[in-house]
Amino acid sequence: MKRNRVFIRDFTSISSLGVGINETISNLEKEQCPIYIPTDSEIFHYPHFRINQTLFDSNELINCSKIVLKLLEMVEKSFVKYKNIPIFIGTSTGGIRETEEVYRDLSEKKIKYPLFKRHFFNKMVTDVKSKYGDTIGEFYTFSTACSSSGHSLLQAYKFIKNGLIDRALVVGVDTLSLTTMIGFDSLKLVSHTGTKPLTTGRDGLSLGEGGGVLFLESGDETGVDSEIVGCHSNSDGYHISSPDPDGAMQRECVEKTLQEAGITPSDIDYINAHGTGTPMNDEVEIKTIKTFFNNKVIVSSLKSFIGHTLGASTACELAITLAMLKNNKIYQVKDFSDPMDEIVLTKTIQKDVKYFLKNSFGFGGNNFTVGIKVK
Amino acid sequence: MNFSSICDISIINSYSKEKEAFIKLFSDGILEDNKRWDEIIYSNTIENIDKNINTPVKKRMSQMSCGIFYVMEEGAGKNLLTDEEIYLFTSFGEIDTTDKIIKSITIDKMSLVSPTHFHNSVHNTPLGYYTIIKKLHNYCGTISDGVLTGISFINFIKNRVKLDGTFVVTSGEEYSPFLDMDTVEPKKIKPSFISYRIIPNQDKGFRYLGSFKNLDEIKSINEYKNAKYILTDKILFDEMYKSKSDKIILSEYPIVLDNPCGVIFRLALPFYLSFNENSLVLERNGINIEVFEVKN
Repeated sequence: MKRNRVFIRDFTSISSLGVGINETISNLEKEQCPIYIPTDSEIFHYPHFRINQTLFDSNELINCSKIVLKLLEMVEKSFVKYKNIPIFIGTSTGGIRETEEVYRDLSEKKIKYPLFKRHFFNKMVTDVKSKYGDTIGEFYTFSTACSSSGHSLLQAYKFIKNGLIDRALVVGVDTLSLTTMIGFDSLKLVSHTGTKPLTTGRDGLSLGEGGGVLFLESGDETGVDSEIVGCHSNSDGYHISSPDPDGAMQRECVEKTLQEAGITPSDIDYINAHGTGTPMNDEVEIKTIKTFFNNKVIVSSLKSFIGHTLGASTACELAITLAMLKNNKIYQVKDFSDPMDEIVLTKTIQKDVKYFLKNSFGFGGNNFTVGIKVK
Repeated sequence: MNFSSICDISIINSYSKEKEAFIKLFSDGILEDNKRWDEIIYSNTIENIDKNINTPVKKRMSQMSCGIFYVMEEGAGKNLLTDEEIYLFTSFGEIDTTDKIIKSITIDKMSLVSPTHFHNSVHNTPLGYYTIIKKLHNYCGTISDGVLTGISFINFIKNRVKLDGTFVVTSGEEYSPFLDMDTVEPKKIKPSFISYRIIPNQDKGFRYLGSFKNLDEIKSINEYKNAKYILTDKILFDEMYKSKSDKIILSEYPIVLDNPCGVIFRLALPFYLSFNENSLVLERNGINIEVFEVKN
């Protein structure tokens, strides 16, 4: 079987840090946490991270489709010249907010609503194909909770690496919804004061919205800044919403990623953690990381800046990480204090990174790690 | 060696959990007679669907999670290898749990919802429970494209079989009142579940032939001429009949009704029903028709 290298030809993100890479870097430079504190009258009760709401201006599309189309528009110069590009989408809830808005009228039969066309994930695929026609080919929407876009990336990577396809678009997207805001709060996982990932004072996650896109290609590496060198996913087989406290399968995920990349822990300069800010997640993740890397690696969570974007988080955080490392910096929020371990980054630093890892962990004990080489 | 075989198949629906019952649907000619498709009465739940789950956790599991567990236990899970990938294809996922949550929030105006309902609402919940109960660490991916999930399956399978290693496919839908709320394009969705193992690089089995423009184009290929059975979705079934085909035309519709993942069941039927002759498996994809050959 053919073994191709998999390059990240283009990428961008939409998050509370901004629309596109330039705005994102500009806001990262300010080192401010753009968390939104709602008033009592607002439907989302707890602090959260919102994207520029003008992106949601009125038209027929669901908000997830609006984000996906904007993401694609920002990188389309890289891919529109091709035909039949497979698209691998990752989302956890895509479109559920719109269903919440019509649910009462729908259940009382006051309106006619094409539920099968608008509620489910086919809506995004249909909207993308409607705009880009035969530029977009095969489609797959992965939905494995918070590791969703990790799975999209993993499958695209496998298909390209093994020569089945030459290029792929990997997209992660999720929007805020009452279901996730109230649901996570019911599990006592939402911070009522604002998330503080990887700190001793962490008391939960803050939800975010947005997405990320990565355009992957094999072949010519000219002009490419980064390469996927390893990727792995497995299952804890432990609990439906908590990680295995032992972290055994998270460790295996990291180990197999390093093995596939042909590198050792000492080659890794930085780990972009899943780092949700919940007590259990961060404890297990840091414990896992320390078994490999001792104190010789830098760890941070972008959720300090953008919140937990759920199924979008892998793609969104990878795109932001690639942007900041291109800038030779790893950013941290200005008022970061009380790191839970000495490997946690406490302030913005200048850093040349050659290899980094990105972790994502989802409900059901669904683990994902990717290794990236930065040029 | 460009074929893939399918084995360790388990199918259940609210009509039956027994293979003999589905074989009888075939031998009685019901799969090939759309006038008799309404003969079978389906219910919204499958009774004793949790009978092979020996843990109190089953009280928390939905029909969707129990259904996937059931067919994994009776099918592909029996010979599961530690490095075998498991892929769940589902159009609607844990839709009844999601419905309960949205109802609590929007109708009952609850400020909190059942924590169990919430962590059960994600699409990979069935495989989460399966790996937890069985203490497994396999790769588990869930692909869900709503009414287009059958097409995602075809896209995925035609690529994945070119890679090394056996892998497991499971699929299913549960019933939910939520699914009855679409009055624009209503669908009859009742519970149905399947699991099987795919073994790539075989001399016989299935292979993807391509995307065809119409039935006439399909009828011109040798694989059509060599086939005894044509297995189709409900719409193509009518078109095939009108086109006066000399083949035996079958559909899995009496087993899965409007489940958008019908092609996942359809592709397995020639193996499940132990056909000795060749078949074609067809699925409508927009203006095109996707075609697999199954060679025995």
